[in-house]
Amino acid sequence: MTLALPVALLLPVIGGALFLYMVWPQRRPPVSDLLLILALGAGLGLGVSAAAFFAWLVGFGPSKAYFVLELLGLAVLVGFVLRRLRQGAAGLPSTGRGEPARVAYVSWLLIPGFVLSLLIAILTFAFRSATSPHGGWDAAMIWNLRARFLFRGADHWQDAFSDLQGTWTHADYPLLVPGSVARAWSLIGSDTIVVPILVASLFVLATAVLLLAALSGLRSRGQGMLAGIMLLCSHPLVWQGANQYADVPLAFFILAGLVTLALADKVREGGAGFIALAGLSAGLAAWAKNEGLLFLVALFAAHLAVVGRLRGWRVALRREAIMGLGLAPVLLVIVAFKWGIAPGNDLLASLTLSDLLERLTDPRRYGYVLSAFGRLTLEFGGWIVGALFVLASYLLALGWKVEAEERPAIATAALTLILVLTGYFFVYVVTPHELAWHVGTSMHRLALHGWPSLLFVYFLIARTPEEASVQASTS
Amino acid sequence: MRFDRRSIVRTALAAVLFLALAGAAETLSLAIGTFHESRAGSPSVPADRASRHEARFAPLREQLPARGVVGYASDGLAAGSFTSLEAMQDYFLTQYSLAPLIVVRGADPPLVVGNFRTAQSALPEGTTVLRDLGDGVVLLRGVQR
Repeated sequence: MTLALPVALLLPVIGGALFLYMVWPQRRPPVSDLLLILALGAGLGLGVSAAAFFAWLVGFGPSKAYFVLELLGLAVLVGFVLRRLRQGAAGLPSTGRGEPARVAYVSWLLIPGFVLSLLIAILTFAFRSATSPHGGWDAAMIWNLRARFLFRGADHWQDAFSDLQGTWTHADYPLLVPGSVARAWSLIGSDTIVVPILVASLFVLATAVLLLAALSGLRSRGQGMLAGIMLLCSHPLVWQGANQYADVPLAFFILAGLVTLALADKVREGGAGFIALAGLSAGLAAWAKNEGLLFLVALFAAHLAVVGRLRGWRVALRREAIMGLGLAPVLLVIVAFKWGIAPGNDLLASLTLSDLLERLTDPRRYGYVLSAFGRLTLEFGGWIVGALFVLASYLLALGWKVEAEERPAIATAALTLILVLTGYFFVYVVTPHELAWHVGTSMHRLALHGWPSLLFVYFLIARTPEEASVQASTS
Repeated sequence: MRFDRRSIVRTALAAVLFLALAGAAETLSLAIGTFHESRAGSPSVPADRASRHEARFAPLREQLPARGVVGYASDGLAAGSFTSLEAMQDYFLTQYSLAPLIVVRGADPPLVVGNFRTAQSALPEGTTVLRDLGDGVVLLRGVQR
């Protein structure tokens, strides 16, 4: 098992990174892009392998032969990457905007801060995992329980979705996290609790590194480092990650969708690959949690509206089609699961039209949800002062600067997040569950879904520390 | 008093770093505190119940079939409803420990898993003890057989 464990987890991470290396617009991506490739590839690789593992289960049942296919896939990717390397550099420009050489010291000053925040995050995750190695309640009730059914159930893995279990195990929830865990257990041949802990830690790390690397490339190293520090230091990411819930993977794929769209606008050639990756990320978000379906719809709608308005409807429709191509394989898996295997959703099943209308016309419910949103806004982050207040103050101090070419990406991301937030708001308004209980047990996790993406949009808008320092020294 | 722009930028950066790292340190302190309290068995911090449950039910897993449906009886279950949140969580943890078996409330299936907190707990009517595995865990013959 000792060798099988790292192989089981590194196979999708390396596979994902190699795939991205292969499709990266630059034939030889600059060193500065390698971290971005690794973070994005790690999450996408884990997500795709979980979907592929499930598709294999449906098609062929549990079998080690699946891993032969994975290894073959990896060998093909290695071959393509080596071929690409032999062809030499294409000389396309880096995605990065570059940074003023005079003030690079600012980003160097942030390195100790980032290292410290990473160290604290690792220790927090380790202590939390040592306290509850099986994760939080939802991990045992939903995510790891489903993984156990998929692995231990062997040919009867579909017992995981039996109506006999009742609604409390939420058997309709998508299977990215259980699939990732069960896949690794199947390769190892043992359902060790270390696997869900490591899968959770990979997603926490990949989310933070993706934010850092994306902003380092799109804005500046200092900006990426600062965003990474803020994300790693916020209580929900590490805490919920160690709880082994699917909320951090969902947050990763939401961020990945918005980052890849921003990268698509940045490169002069090869942007279509990034647009397809945005579609893939949206599909994997929906494969992580039901809330990801809302993100998927919001991303496509926001992208169509923004690009259609700024660049014309023909361009928008062409880009939507490319996104759809990236989405299609995962969407097939989701549709097969939802229609063919999963039981009905408990929220939808218990909702009647009259209940819906009654709740939608009850102003007290709106007031309750709004006040809960307000409290969350003030307290989010787990800091002495609310993280959103800190962000607002920082923006006032340093100022903002939006590049014309980044406007579509920023507008798409902002509109997507607003649509998702609005969707969450109305889910609470119409929920058949007791409202205070539903809000109290889930809102902090829903806020986490958009938190890395909010930081991404914010730091695309905020002036970088390097720019602010230059402006300060010249004024 | 007049602040120059450079001071504002530096102060803003320092403030963000301080607030973020202080918040993270507080979270770490909470994680360490919870860890030590759970190890010390403090009543204010729920110890790792899932691991304890796994250990209690490990001998029972060997007595059960590889798959199928088993019943669930407990002194925290009255007329099909749980008497407390803790009793409900015990049921969830039993399902978690025994997966891929499906654990349903009640004593109707041929085999029933008993999870009792006190030795004096009454067994569900019509059931008989097949195996007492200790620590409140028993395997019962269900009502139907």
